[in-house]
Amino acid sequence: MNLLAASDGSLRVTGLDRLSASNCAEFKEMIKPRLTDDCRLVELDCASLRFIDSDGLGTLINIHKRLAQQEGKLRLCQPSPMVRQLLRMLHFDELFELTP
Amino acid sequence: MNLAAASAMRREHRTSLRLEMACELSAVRAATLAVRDWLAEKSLPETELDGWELALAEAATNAVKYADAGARQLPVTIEVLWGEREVEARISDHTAGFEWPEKVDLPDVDAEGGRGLFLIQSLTDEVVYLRHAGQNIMILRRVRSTAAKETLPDVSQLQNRLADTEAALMDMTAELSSSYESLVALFRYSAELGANTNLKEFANRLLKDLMRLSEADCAVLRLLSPDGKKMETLLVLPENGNTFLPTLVLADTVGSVEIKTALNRQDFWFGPEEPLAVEDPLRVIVPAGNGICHAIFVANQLVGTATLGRLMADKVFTAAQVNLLHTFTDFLAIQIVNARLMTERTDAHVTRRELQIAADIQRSLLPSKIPACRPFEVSAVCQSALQVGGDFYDIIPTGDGALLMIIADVMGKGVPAALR
Repeated sequence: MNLLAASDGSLRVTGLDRLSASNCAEFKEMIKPRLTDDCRLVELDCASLRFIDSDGLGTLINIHKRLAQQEGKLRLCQPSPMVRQLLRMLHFDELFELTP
Repeated sequence: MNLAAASAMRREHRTSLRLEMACELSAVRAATLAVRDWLAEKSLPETELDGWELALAEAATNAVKYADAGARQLPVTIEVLWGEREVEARISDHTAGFEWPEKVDLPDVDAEGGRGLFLIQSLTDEVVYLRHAGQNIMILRRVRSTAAKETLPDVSQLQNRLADTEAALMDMTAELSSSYESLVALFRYSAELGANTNLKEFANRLLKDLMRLSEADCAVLRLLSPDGKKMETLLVLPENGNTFLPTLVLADTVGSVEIKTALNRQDFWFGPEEPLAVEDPLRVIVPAGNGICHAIFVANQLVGTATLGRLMADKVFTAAQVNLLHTFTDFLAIQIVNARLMTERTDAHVTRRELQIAADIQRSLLPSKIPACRPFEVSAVCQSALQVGGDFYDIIPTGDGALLMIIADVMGKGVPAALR
């Protein structure tokens, strides 16, 4: 997994293959210190994301809530049809920005 | 075994998967992927594979998350059944369990947790949660989308089912006919017993019939020596030049399944999962393959062991064939014990007769008439402590009116004393 921080404070996460109960705590630990107060955008590249479960989705909510406090947002890029369907089912497509 | 049960067992074997995972989060992924792969092999559509992967991950994660320290030592079991129309998964855990809510609602959209049960329910058609002391089982079912077509089974499926039924019928017929054949064989042996006094020849024919009926490739019959310390080889089948098996000494138990069988007084199986020990002499007969070693008893006395083997590892003896082994060898054991008793009785009779002859010979050495010797009167009596004795006397007239009297007593008693 790669974490890129831009000069404007935005973060881009790539190469994540799964986000589930077994690795979401680790994921959170990695993101948290980089989430500065001036961060307005976290972009999660979902092209490689094969699997996400309810704990993984909870982690995304956690990041979303943190960003919402500072008028930032979470963007999910290229989610697979399966992930997209899951987000829709849980109404997360209303919270996160999805790009094709 | 009835027909329905026979074919159900066969199908079940082809269509179920059972796995145990350690009660830790890191084990969930491998377990759910194993199930996914198994379902993928059966050509379940991709969307349904995704659904099962997630539903099982949620259920397994819960089983780990809510386990206390004791429950973490116990595995979480996942069983998957491929049914006619649906897939069913059962997840057994050892948590304290929970009450399945009457209605599973989605939490607030920005809640960080509490979606597991909702996902499980959304991804399946039916959820049953059984709560017991010490173990809970979550049963998930989902109708296969491909199953809809199967409401009218196609010709190939009908043919498969017919083949299954025919196979089960063949098995039953074979079982019946082998039971019949074994009965006939036992009656025939009983009839022959009077005429046939050669035990080894008798055992040889019985064992060959047993091999044929149980479809065994080889057989070994061992008998316990009279002192109970050794297992002697009576028969090794098939007979050919290099089927020599050494006598086994019971106290010397290095890796012989026959000794193990004799000492434990119970049957032992061997095969790919329980291979024969490297030093087991049976390896000469069954280098690979599988078999069963049966302890033979008569009236609670160990008589020996009988072993049946097959050279193909995957062809295991059926319950019916093991029954044949028991019936035949137990019958043989009775004949062996009978033959031994008969020999003992004959031997005792012969010994008595021989002793009588020895006593007659010994007595014939003593003078039948004592010469007259006036004015004395001489008489003799000889009473042996045993049937034959070592006492001797004679009275010989010397010719000059005197008598030579000899009395001899050999030290000891019985036949040895008499012959000295």
